[in-house]
Amino acid sequence: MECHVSAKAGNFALDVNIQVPAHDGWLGIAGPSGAGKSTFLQALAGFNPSASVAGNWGDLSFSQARNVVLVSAQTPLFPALSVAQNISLVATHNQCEQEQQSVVSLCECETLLTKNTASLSGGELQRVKLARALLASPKLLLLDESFSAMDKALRQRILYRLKAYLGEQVRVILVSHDVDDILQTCENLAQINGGQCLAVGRPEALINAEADTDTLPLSCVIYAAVQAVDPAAGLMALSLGKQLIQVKLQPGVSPGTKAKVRLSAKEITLATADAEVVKTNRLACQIIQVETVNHRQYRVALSCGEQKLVALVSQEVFTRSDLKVGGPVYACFDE
Amino acid sequence: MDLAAIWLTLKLAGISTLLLMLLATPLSWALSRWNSRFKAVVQAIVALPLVLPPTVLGFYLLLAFAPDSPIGAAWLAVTGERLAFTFEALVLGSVIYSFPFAVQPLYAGFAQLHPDYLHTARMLNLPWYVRLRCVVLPALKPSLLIAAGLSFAHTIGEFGVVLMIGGNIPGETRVVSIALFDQVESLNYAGAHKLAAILLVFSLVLLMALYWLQGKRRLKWNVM
Repeated sequence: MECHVSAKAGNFALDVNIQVPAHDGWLGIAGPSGAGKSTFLQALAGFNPSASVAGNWGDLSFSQARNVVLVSAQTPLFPALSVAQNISLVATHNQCEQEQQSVVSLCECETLLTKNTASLSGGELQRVKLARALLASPKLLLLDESFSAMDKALRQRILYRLKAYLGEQVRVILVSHDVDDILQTCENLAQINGGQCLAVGRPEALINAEADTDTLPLSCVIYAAVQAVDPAAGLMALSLGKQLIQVKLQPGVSPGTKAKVRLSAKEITLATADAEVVKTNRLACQIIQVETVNHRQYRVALSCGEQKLVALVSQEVFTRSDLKVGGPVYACFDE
Repeated sequence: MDLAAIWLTLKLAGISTLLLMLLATPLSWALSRWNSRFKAVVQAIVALPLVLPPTVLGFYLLLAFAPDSPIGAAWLAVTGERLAFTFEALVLGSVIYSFPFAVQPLYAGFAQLHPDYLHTARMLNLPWYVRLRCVVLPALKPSLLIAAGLSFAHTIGEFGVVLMIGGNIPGETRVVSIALFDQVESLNYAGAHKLAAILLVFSLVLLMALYWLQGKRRLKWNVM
């Protein structure tokens, strides 16, 4: 996949060049507010007449693509129509009446159909917009913070189903502030900042590389085998070497498969052997590196067998706890 | 009572309103999407009838409609009749005179119709007639009704322009406001009272209906 977009929006100049060796899977875009993510998608959707777009994604040419469908704050529902009419009108004119029912249930819009568009909450609005977009038979689907107002569980559920529903037929670019959305659904991630693409790669590789903490929060991705799932509690157990950790259950995982879990450096607390820490998980690790990230905090790199972890710890606590490089420590975190 | 004058007034207002809506709608759309330094010039010309004394407008129109002017001569060549002091001249005058009353509400309506709605509708492969029926017209419904109502009311109330270019020909150019002036001049106050009351009540009711609909939000978004 190769994509070049240049556009001007006011004083902001966008010049994004993305190259992904393989052309399969979804592309995630991460970047701070004002990085140019939305401008990039709007240019691809043809909303910005002054933008220039080039490149192709497999057999899809970005400059000539038809059925490019954007879902964002710039694609409002039509206020003169009810929710059901917004959906069915688009389905009718795209010969997608057959899919209407399955798309509505995929986006969990069944109970929203009779409502007035003005009475929808933020998350409901996003679900209806997504359903409407899917019924426009997209070839390229551009999702710009299309799940931001949904709670995490709902978002994960819909994204998981969406990925299965679209299959290989539809190309997807997902812009999200939530790195976990991208980690769970996208095969590739592009980091955008200041109107330029800084890096492209596997999401877990880019997160673990800690290349740019402006676009990706300091964290590490654990890729481990699932030992057990507990749907009632919404938890699953992963094995890290001989140690087990409990984390939130992700849709579609079952014992025997592998799962990706991101642990934010801020969520990890370090503890010595005798300290009591009230957290769900306690992983025995070794400190392999300590460096100052700002005046008050250390970035502490840990190893747990093959797995690397990273924690942010206040310098005061670190010194008081008598921790040192090479020494043992417990990494404690909740599910 | 002067039924011929009332009928003529309604006919004039109806035809003028129809023409105004046909002309002002595309112009307002274009004007709302047009960014140029000449926009102010066009807007000023459109708004001129708001501030000019009707007699000034009527005077220039009278000159333009005369058989020796290009417009009057062209009309004479095509129809074989003179333009000045005819019903057709009144219609033309009314359209010009009421133009800002049609353009300004429509312009505001189009300016409020955010391009995102049209982009989205096109992106979702909705054909043009669906976009018009489900996106554009519902958003413009309030503006369309207000523009038509104001144009109609304003045409009924015109006097100066009619006097200048239409004169006072019964059944042809003698509208209610002229007939009222006649009655007063001939000191027939009873007749004048009737016509004045009709104009007053009619205009009041029309404006009340417009404001009532607006307040009720009946004019808000709604298609099917």
